[in-house]
Amino acid sequence: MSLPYETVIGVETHVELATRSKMFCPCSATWFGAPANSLVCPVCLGLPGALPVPNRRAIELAMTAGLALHCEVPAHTKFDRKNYLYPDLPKGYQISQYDLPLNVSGWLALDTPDGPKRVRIRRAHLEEDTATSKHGEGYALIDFNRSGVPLLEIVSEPDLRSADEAVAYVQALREILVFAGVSEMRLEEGAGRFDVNVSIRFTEDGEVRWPPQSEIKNLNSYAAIREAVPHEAERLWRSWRDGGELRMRTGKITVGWSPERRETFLQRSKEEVEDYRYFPDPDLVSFTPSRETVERLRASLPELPGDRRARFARVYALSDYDARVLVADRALADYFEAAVKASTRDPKQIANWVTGEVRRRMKDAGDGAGVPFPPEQLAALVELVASGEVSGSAAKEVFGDMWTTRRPPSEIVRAKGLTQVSDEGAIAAAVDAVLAENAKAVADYRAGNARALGALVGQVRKRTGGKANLSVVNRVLAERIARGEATR
Amino acid sequence: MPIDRRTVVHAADLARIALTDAEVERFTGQLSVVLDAVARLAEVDTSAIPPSASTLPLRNVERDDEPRPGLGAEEALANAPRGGRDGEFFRVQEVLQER
Repeated sequence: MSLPYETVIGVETHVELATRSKMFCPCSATWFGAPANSLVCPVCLGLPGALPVPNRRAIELAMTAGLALHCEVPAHTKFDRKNYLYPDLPKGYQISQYDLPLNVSGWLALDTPDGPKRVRIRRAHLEEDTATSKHGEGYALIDFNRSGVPLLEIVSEPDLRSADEAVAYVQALREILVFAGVSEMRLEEGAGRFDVNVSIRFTEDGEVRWPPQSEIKNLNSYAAIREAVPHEAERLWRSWRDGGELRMRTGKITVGWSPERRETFLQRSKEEVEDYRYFPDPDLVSFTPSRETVERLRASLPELPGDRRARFARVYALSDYDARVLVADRALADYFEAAVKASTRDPKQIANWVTGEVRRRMKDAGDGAGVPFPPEQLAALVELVASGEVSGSAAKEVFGDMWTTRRPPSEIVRAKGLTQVSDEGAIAAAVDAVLAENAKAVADYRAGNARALGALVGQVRKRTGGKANLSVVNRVLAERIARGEATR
Repeated sequence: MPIDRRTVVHAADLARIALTDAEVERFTGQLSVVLDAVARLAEVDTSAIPPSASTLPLRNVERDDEPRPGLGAEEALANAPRGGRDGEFFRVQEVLQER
């Protein structure tokens, strides 16, 4: 059933940049899990007289993100103070960028069920993160470790039309930023947060109506976006239909999302409209990106996920699914490509290992674990299977051994005696013996019971110690039975 | 450039300063005088001067991304006001967000 209104969505994404130190001071930016208030200095504590100095790497990462999102780099940019009072903001203002952001007017390509779509990016600017708070009964505990960590805020135009599309957008955005090395964007560590602007548009009395939006603040997971967006859109629709608050107001409101109660709640109404009194930060000087820097960053931009997926499908003849799974993880995609380069076999065979066993093992090993052996060894294993030296099932065993012992596959095959017997003579002898002993199964098979063949194959395998090459066994069996038929 | 009571009340609210009615009255007059004094800058002809965000003759001041140890928790927390420390945290009054 289709809704009586269209949902119009724009997303503001905050991501922490992958720097080692903070935005304006040399304190470590690796705040997650650090003892409270251990990574602080006069600058990020907002002590009087402390002076901020921008982190070059943070600026370059922010520019890299802009280039990956097809943004324009302005001739000049600067930092401004955004003034508001809150316990997690020690200076009483946040250093951000107001009218001259580092990146403007970009776009991101999105695959939607209705075909490809471009989501326009209005701007992407640099700012500093706030401290973290833990809330108690009537008080809050503040930890300034996160205060001053570089943050990139990426603002989309209201080009998204459903919660699913919004989620697809943030997933695509995350993929690009992780690929470009801009951010690790670990959502579970709060390194990516979303403010989602939701409004509804509909026709009433022959007129298109588009009442003011709600901004849902601080969503931190895809699941939260998926739930909060339709909830708020429906709330807005009911409010309009029942003559509620939406009929009265002329500006946007800010709401929060309670995952426990699964509903939004009002944070700030129009009367308390934000008044940030932005002005240029007098402690910081303006910034003019040089041509050389821009070109250097552009040149070092890696191939982006969408392009890489298309190339994988085209060059390696992979399915869309395989290309997607591989490209979802840059390290995995690089590993796959290195293994393909080291192999003369069909890349699909390499892909099967990487998307299957390799990924499964990596998942079991936990976060951050890589493949314990070089890609050339995976290529060697594929070669052993493709040449018929080991069977598919034995190859799995070899793979498991490679993972734990890191020994080359050929060595494991030799040590464990896993070489499969492909020698026709040996297999034919076994087949003849089995046929002689299993006249009934042969007769059953001839009578049309195809399953009887399986039993015969099993017998041959057993006779050869499980090492007979199955494709040879099948062929020889079929030949012998057919010949037996002919000579009868 | 006279300003009205509402602007003064709003500014005080943004700065979290509690003003009595008498103070609002007094500051409304005083702030108007201050603004008038500053507004004289508008008389200067700036049509030939490019806009600038900073008066410093500097650009692109940056530092390398090299982490260095800061104050550490003990020294940092030594600045907390009385009752403003709770273990390794700064303790503040709750700010209610949800209504």
